[in-house]
Amino acid sequence: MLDVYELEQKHKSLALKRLKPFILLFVSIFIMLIVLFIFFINRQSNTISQVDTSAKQEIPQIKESLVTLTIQEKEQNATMQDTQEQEQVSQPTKEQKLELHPSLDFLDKVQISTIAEKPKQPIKQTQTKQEESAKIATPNDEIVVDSNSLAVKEVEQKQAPLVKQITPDVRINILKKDGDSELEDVIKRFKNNNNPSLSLFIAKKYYQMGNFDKAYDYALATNNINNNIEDSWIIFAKSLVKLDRKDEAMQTLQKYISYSKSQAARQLLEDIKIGKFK
Amino acid sequence: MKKLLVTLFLLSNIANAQDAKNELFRLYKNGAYEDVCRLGFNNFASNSSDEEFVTIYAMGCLEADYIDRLAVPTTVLKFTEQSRANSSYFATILFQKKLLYYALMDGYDISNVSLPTTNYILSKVFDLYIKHHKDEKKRLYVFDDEKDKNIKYKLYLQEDIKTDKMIIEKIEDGVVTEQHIYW
Repeated sequence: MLDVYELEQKHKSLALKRLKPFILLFVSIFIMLIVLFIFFINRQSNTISQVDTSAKQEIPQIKESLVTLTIQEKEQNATMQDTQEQEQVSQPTKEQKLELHPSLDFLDKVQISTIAEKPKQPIKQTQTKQEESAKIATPNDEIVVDSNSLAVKEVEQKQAPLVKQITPDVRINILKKDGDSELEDVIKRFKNNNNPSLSLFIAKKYYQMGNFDKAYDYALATNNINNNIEDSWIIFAKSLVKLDRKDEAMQTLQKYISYSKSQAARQLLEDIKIGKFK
Repeated sequence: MKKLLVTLFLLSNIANAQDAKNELFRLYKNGAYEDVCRLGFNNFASNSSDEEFVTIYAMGCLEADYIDRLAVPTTVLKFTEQSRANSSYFATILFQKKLLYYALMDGYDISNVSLPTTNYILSKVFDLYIKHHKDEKKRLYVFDDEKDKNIKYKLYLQEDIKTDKMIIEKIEDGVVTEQHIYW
């Protein structure tokens, strides 16, 4: 019978003997690295102290040479100034900044069914969620909403420019005011300049306050000025639902969805159909 | 049989990549920028060699204010003149965002920094900040647009649990029309 324990011990000792040279090599490399590291650090600290002492010695010599140089330079500068002034007058000042633009020419070649881009829209100040930035763009079709009968017509391609008026430069004072007086200010400004952002803001405020008649009126006014503001159509439809005109709201949303493919409008229509939004 | 399966697998991957690209373009043209950024991010590995895909992904993230995601597209876009121009555009905006955030958070002086400008709102605010902040450290800055007197830009930091957020608001005629949050 073989003594297994003895054989195992022998095997272990043989294995260790085989590994010995590698272990020794590794340990020696490690020690060499430590020594080199310490040597390198010491050398660096020595060179820094040497530079300091040599620099201190050189400073008085440099000062003397500088004094003599400055006298010579002053004489030269007097002659140079005249020529420099002449050059400065001829050279234009380079204050114009380089402006970079993205290059998206390949996008025009892509033939995908597209819709008009989202226009600018006033947003609420939320602290938790990021909100998308929107652009004003040209619509493919203009939808005109008749306030009496809600008949929707498709008209020729037309761009609706925003009416801007130059107002005097007024500083913004960030003060808390009553909701009503603030709203009156905005209404006055809207009447002056017909800015759809203002009318949308007013519509949203009235909707929040529960005044759905006025919310409907201002949403309609917004759509008449610029019919590509998604939020305006949403508030318009919601106001109609709240005024018990559910069918008109659904009809409007369907027409809007057919040309805009708006996800938000689609979601609202579904909610109205299943009774989630009342 | 094995070869057939492998070719089918490869073809399906190619088809999926093409579908993702078409879907990305469609979403971009529809203005769904957050969806563009998300879809692009999820499919980036299989489309990283397609510079058009990468460009649209980066533009979507830019419009959705995920500026940090521009870093990888900036390094990938380099093989055509258009892509190099776009790469410089994204790199400029990313750099401006980082510098502005650094300046607001830690008071770093960027008044001598001269960078190209872009039409993106953060670039405009960056240029206005350099021009008008006058070495004062404030909690809130309000700048007038140089071309349109009715437009103002508000720049401030908002405290948050992990790190403060830098917020830029565009105010037209007293109404906030855009809000951009960066961190």
